[in-house]
Amino acid sequence: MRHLWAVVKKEFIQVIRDIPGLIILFLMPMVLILAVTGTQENAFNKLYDSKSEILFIDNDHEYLSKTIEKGLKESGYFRVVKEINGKALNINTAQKEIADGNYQVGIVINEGATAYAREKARQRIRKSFISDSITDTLQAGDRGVKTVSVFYDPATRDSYKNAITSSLERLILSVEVKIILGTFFEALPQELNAQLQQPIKNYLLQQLDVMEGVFTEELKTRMGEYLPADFHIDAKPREVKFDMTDDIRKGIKFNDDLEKDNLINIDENYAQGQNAEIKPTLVQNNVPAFALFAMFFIVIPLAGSMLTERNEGTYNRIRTLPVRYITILWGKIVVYASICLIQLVLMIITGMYLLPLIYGMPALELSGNYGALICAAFSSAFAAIGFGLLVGTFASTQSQAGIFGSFMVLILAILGGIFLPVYMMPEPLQVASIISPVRWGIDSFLDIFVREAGFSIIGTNLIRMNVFFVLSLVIALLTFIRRK
Amino acid sequence: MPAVIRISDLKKTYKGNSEEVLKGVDLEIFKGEFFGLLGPNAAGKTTLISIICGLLKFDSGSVDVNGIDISKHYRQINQFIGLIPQEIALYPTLTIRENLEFFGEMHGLSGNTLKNTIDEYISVVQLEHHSRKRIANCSGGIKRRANLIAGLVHDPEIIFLDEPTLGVDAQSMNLIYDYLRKLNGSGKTIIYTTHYMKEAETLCNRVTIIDDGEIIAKGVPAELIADNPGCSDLGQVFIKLTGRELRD
Repeated sequence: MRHLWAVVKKEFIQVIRDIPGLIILFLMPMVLILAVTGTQENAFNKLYDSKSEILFIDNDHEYLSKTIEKGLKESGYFRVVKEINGKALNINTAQKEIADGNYQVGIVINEGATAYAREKARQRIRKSFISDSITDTLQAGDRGVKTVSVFYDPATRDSYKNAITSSLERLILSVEVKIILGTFFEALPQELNAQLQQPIKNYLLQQLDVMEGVFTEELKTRMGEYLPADFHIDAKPREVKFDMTDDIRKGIKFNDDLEKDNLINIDENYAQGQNAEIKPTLVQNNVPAFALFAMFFIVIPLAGSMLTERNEGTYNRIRTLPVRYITILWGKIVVYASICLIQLVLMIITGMYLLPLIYGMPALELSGNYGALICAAFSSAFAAIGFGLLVGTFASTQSQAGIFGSFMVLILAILGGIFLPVYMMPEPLQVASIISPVRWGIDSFLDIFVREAGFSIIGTNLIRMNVFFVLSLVIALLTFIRRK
Repeated sequence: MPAVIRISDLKKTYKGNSEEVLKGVDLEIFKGEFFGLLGPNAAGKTTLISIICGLLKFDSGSVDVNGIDISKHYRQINQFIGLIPQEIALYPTLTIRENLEFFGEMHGLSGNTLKNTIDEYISVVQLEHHSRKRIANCSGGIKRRANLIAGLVHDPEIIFLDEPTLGVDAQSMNLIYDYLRKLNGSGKTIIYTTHYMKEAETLCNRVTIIDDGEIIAKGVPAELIADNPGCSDLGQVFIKLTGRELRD
C-alpha cells in the first residue's frame, strides 16, 4: 500500500505540474462542449427553419381538417405537403418518410374527427343543462378517439416540436370554440324550453290548488243549505307565490367539464415507435458525449507517461525496484481515474448551469439513480484508462502515441455518437459503433439521464467497459513481462 | 573473498537477430571489488548488466547474484542491487528531492529515515542548493549527480554504474570519483562500465574487456598493461585487443 501511495504521489505531482496538459484535459472539453453545442443548436435551428415542411394527411375531410390545413398554410411558417411524387400520402408512407429523416413532422387528422368533436360538444352542452337526465350516446370505443395524430422524427429538437404543438393547439382551440358555440346556440332554445316547462307546470298546479280552495269556500257560501250533507273539502286558500327564478337557476347548470376536457386530442408519436431509440436533448447528449471524449483524451498524458518512463531510463530503474509492475500501473490508474472523474463533474456542471445560462437550453437533470451514475462514471474512466494503457504499451514514441491516440479517440468518439447521435448515423456506422468503448459510456449515461435507468439496463455496458479495462491491464502486464 | 556475482557460460540472442550478443560469458565478481566492465560499442556490456540486474532474460548459462539464481528469483535481488543507468533515469517534472523520495519509498524507506537518508546523499554530492529544482531545469552535471544518488538511496550492496560520468565537467567528475571510492571503501561492490580507459585504470581494482559478446581479457589494470608489451596504459591495451575498426 505504501508503494502504491508513493506511485500515486509521484504521478499526481507529474500531472499537476503539466499545466498545458491540465488545460487541455479540463478546459478543452468545456470549451468544446460550449462551442459545439451552440453551433449544433444554431445549425439545427437553421435546418428546421429551412425545412419547415409538414406532411399532412386528411382522413377527416371536414371542418377540423380544413381549418387546420388552412391555418398551417396561412401561418407562413409551414409548407403543407399532402403528396409526394404525385402520390397522396397515407399514414404508413408518411411515417416512413419521417423515419427516414426526409421530414421532421407529419400531422394526421383522423377519420370522423370533426363529427366526433361535434357530438362530444353536443353532449357536453346537454349535460351542462340537465346533468342527471342525459344519456351518453358516445360509444365506449369512441371515447378518447385520437382525433389528431402527430408523428415526429426522433431527432426533432424540442424547440421545434414545441412550435408545432403550440401552432396546432391554437388552431384546435379556435375549432373547439366554434364547435362549442355553434352547438350551444343550436341547443339553447330546445334546452331552455325543456327546462322551463317544469317550473311553469308546478306554478299552474299550485294556482289550481289555490283556485280549488277559493272555489270551495265560495261554493259553500253561495250554496249554503243546498249542499249535500256529506260534502267535504279540506282545501284552504294559500298565499300565492310567483317566483320561478330559483327553480330555473337550479335547472340550468354549467358543469366544469367544459374546461377540463378537450374536444380534440393531439396524440404525439415518434415515427420509429415508442421503444425504438433514446431521444435525448442536445444537453443530455452532449454532456456525457464530451465527458467521454475528454476522458479518452487522457490517452495522451497516460501513454506519454508510460513512454517517457520506457524511453528515458526510469523504466529500467523501476524494474529494479522491489515492487510489482502492477503497483506502478495502479498508481497511474488512481491518478488518471481521478482526472477522468473531475472531467465528468466539470462537464455535468457545464450541462447543469453553463449551457442553460449561455444558450438558454434546458438544464441537465441528474436522475435519482446516483449509484448507477457513479458506477457508469468509474467504468467509463477505467475504459478510457484501458485505452491509454494499450496505446502506452504498444506505441514506440511519444509522437506516435500522440498522433495515433488522438486519431483513435476521434474515430471512437465519432462512432460513439459524440458529434452525431448514433440513431442518426447510417446503419453500417451504427453497427460499427457497437465496438466503441466511448459508445458504451455514452449509452450508459444517456440511459441514466434520459430513462433514469438502473443497473439492469446499463449493466451490459458497465461489464463491457470493465472487461475492456481488465483486458487492457492484462495485456500491458504481459507485454511488460514479455519485454524481458 | 567470496564471489557476489557468478556467471557461467552465459548466452543471449535478441529476437529477430540471429547473432549471439553474449557467446558463453564466464565471470566472477568478488565482494568489495571495484570492477570495470569495458568494451567498445555493441560489445554486450549493457546486455550483460541488464541480465545481472534481472531486466533481461537469457538463453542459457547461469547467473547467481549473492547466491540467488536470478533466472528463478530475480525479484529477490532488487533490494540489494542499485542500478545507475547511462540515461538520466529520473522524472523531469519532479524535483531532485521528490525523485529521491519516490525511489526511497519504493525501496521501503519512510518518515525520518527517508528524510535523513536523502539529506545525507544530497549533502555528499553537494546538491543542497538544487534539491528543490525540477530535474528538467537542472544542468547536466547536477542531473548526473542526482541520477547517481537515486540508485543508491536504499543503500545497496552491489552497485551497477553504466557510464556515470558521461558528459559531465571535470569538477563533477572528480566529485563522483571521490564518492565512488568512498562507497567502495565502505565495502560496496561496484560494477562500472565506461569508455574512459583512464577512469577505469584509476578507479577499478580489476577490469574485464568484452568484445563481440566474448570476454577477451580480464585482470588488474596494471597487470594487463604489463602483459601487453608496447602498451603504457589501459587505453592502449584496449585498442590493441579490440582493434581500431569502428563499431556500430
